[in-house]
Amino acid sequence: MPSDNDQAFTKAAKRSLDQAADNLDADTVARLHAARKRAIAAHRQRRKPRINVWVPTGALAAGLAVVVATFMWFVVPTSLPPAGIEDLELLVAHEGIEFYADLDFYDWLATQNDAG
Amino acid sequence: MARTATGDNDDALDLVQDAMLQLVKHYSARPAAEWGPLFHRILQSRIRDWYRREQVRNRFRVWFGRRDEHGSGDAVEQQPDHHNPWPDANMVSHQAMVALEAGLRKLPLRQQQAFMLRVWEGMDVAQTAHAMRCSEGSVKTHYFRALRRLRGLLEDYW
Repeated sequence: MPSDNDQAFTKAAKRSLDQAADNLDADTVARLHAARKRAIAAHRQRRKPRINVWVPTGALAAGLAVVVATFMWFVVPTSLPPAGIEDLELLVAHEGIEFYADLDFYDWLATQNDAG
Repeated sequence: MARTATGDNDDALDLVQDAMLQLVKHYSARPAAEWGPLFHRILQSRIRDWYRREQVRNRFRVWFGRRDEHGSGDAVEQQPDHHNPWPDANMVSHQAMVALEAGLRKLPLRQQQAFMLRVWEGMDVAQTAHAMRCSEGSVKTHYFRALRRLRGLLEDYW
């Protein structure tokens, strides 16, 4: 608990320090104002919206993705082409696939038999 | 406060400028009510750094025999300012103020900081401890010693 004397002393000291601050010389006051202005200017500079490099990069990437998706959708076939009518017989036949692979041989064999 | 601690106007202004910029850089988003204590915390920290650097410089000056660099300035710059902001009626309080500043400069830095923050800035013990980055107990000790010392030095005035 501070004594009354201490309180009187600190009050007088505060008054004296306030008085000294009020009587700062013009040069010091001007330099303090300049320092304050520089700090405020720095604050404004920091608050300015800066163009983030990721924004245009992201937009470009998104645009590119849309173009690629559109290309894939309209140009690249998404399923196998439907079988032609000439292939229908092949699909429903009971013979194995080897038979059709050797079809030229059987044609030749038939012509040889006919000739013989 | 910075001038009392450094005893040099230019150094004091540099410290204040630096503290202002640091406040803006790191704490401008904080509520305005916190700016005062935060500013003092930064400023006291800068003063402490300055004080350490100055101690090292002083050691070098002593080793290399370079004392009182500030005293050997330009004679024009050394001319006193005859503009007197202290009319005769206030001469006694002016003398008390000069004695107080001289007394504050005689104190160890931590006592000086504790006294200035408590008495001049009106901070309580907790706020002062926050600004000085030390415990509340240390603040009380520094403040008590500063008060005792200053009362002894200024007993002719107050």
